[in-house]
Amino acid sequence: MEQFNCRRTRIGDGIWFNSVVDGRYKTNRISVSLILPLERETASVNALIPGVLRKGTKSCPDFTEFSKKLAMFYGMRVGYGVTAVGDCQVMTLSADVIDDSYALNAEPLLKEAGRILAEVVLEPVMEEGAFRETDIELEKQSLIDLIESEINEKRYYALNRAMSVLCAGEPAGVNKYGYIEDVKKISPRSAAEAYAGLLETARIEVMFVGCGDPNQAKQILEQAFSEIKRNPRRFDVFTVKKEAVLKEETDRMNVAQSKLVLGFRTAVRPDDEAIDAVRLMLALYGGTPSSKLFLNVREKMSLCYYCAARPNVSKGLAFVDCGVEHQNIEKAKAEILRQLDCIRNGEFTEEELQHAKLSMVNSFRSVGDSAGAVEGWYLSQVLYGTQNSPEAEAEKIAGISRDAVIQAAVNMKLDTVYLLTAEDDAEKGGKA
Amino acid sequence: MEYQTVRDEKLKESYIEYTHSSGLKVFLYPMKGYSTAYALFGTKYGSIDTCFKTDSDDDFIDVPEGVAHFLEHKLFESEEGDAFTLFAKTGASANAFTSFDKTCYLFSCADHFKESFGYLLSFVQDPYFTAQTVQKEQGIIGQEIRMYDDEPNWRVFFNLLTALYHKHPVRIDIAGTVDSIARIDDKLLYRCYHTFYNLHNMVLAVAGNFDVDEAMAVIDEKLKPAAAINIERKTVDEPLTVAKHDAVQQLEVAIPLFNIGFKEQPESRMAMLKAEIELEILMKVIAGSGSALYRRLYDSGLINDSFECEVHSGRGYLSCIFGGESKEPRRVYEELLKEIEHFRKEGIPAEDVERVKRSVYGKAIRGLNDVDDVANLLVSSYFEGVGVFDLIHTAAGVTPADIEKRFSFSLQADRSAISVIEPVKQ
Repeated sequence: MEQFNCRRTRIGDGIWFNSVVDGRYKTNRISVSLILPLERETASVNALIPGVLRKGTKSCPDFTEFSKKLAMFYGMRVGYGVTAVGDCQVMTLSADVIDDSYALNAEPLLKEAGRILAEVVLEPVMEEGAFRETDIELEKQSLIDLIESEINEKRYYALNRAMSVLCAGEPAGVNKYGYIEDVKKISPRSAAEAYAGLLETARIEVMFVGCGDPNQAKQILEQAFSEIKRNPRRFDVFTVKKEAVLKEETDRMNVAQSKLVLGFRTAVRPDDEAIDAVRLMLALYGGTPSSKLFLNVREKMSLCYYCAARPNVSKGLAFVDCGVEHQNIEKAKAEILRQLDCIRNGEFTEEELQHAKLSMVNSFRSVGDSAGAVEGWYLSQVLYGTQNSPEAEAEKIAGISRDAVIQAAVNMKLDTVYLLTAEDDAEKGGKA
Repeated sequence: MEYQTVRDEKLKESYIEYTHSSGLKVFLYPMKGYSTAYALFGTKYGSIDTCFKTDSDDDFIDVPEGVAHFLEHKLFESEEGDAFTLFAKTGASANAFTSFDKTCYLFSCADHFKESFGYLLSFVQDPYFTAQTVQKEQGIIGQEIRMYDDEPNWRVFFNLLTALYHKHPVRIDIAGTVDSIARIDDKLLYRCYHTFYNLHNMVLAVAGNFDVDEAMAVIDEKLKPAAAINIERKTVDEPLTVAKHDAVQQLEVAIPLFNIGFKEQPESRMAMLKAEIELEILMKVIAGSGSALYRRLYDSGLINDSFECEVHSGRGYLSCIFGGESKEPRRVYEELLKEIEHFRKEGIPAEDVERVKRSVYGKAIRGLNDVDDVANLLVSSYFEGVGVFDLIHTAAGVTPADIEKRFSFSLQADRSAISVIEPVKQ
């Protein structure tokens, strides 16, 4: 079994540096994640911060010049984003660059990436204690556009809506990007205050994944973070509710295909050993092309192109989603629930179980080949408070019993039925 | 069989290339330190191959739109069952995709490479279509098409292609339409299969963690020798002018989406690769995030972070596409045309070319990071008729003079079009 090969060092009060060094990559990637509870009051302004920070630094305040500088380092990428993990909002900034050995003029690219990232996070452009008004106004609009454009991808829109209905009243029910009316109220000063609060109180996880020497980045970031005032907040990354209360929600829109999402509570925490059985059960149910949902709802009944089940590990939830013709919604829903009952009743063969295991083992053993997947994996481990390498996880999956899978299915409770469908009950046929 | 080891001293990369006795071109690219292997079995057959004949056919056949994609779905089925059930035995993750000019079958695995590799080679060589299985698939693909009907990013792109191209089949949807796939039957699938799934028209590429000798042994065992085939594809006489300058559709979106396209003269082999790289550099000099235009558009709220540009190219088509979201897409179009004119007068600054070239080179290096990217690069380079590392070295060697020359005949306003997805009017 391969070791947990992520090295973790404390580099400040509530600040951690995690590194995975692997010769197979041709790049080095460093990210800084600022983690705080997801709260309606702060979600919008927190979500705005990464977009403002990535636009320049005190030493290179002009966005165009900053972009040019990154391009000269062979297209170094300064990335920014917001994700939700459990009950938390995670604001991430990253720098990603090809390894020094590929530089055409021997530039120290990894060191530059560390310096640039430290400046992006800690030395933004400020005027009299506030962000620049133009930056704030432009990034507010950009964030509003992002929130509004969530409806463009109907499948993900439906999944997000199901999540917010299912978790209504919980922190996880708050939109990670915030709300348009709240974004509009942000001022250069209120954003600066939120930024200061973020640096002072957030839990900070730095991740390094690459083929270079992580100490080059570590020293720079450790030094940079030592100069800020810290007073980290204490909070739980996740809470898992057990009770399910059946909710039904329908949105109507001018769409050709309806989207059905079923949201379940698995009642299992990410740091609970039973989580592996939940994952395996969901793979058997609808996680692979040999799963119950794929073989029945798609292949046998020809109702859908996609019909899949997946967990939200950090919240003890699971979702099944499909795209289906309006008149087939009830048929699809009945079959999806019937297949779950089959698993609850133990109606699956040893072979089916073995196939689900093999598929999961394969996906765990594939994590290491992608620097992005490795970063995501270890950040999750750190946030869940677990210490599993993908290889260790693969071994655990292989040992799960049939009964544990049945039990996971029995414990799974339907909570939310979300439907996105056409304006009226008639099926929408035309397109322009 | 002549095995050739292709080595790149600068990049310290190498792979094996040979033509198997069956007629199939093979690329084996082992990658040290990786856990997974990724195998691609592809045919030079995509949605644009709508009219063709072989030497044994009397006449050209026109096939309904979406046949290549339909065939991709159906090939997973054999008399014994679904190919997915084979891969389920090894845990490998199998899939397939159809693009404009190729269809590829693939799997990725960390263990049991030999078995999965055998399955891949077998099922692609073993067609089985019946009237009943074809009918079943019409329901599934029908839902796939309906899903894309609702995807504004997909629609805006295809509406642009419809505007740019008069006749070239790149203008039709890869999956076809609900009506066109209703005209597909088992006989037609067999005819297309026996034309394009001849090993002489195909390529096999494996990258990542696998044993070369083991892979070669499986290839020897599984490949059925095929008589060479000569496929004639009817090429359309596509003018450089655009079919129309404007395409609009309404869908459920909050902010209008746009694609602005410039039709370019397609080339082949190295000339095409050079064109792709030079156009990418040119587009980024004019409208990339380090450009004055990007800054002006962003600061005036005309574009947001979704703005991007890319070269769209393949067999017989080449275009430059700028896309994103904007409340006033037509003003973005105007500003872009103005900026192009500005560069025509002032010339392209050499330092801009140098800068953008470096980021294009960096992107090409990143392309060797993942096993799937490497396997895909092997297949697309082969079908394009260029070497795998040509992209990286050509990118590193571009000069400002190359870009000036390219610019003198590209990004022409009269060969451009805009496609817009507007919010549904209430």
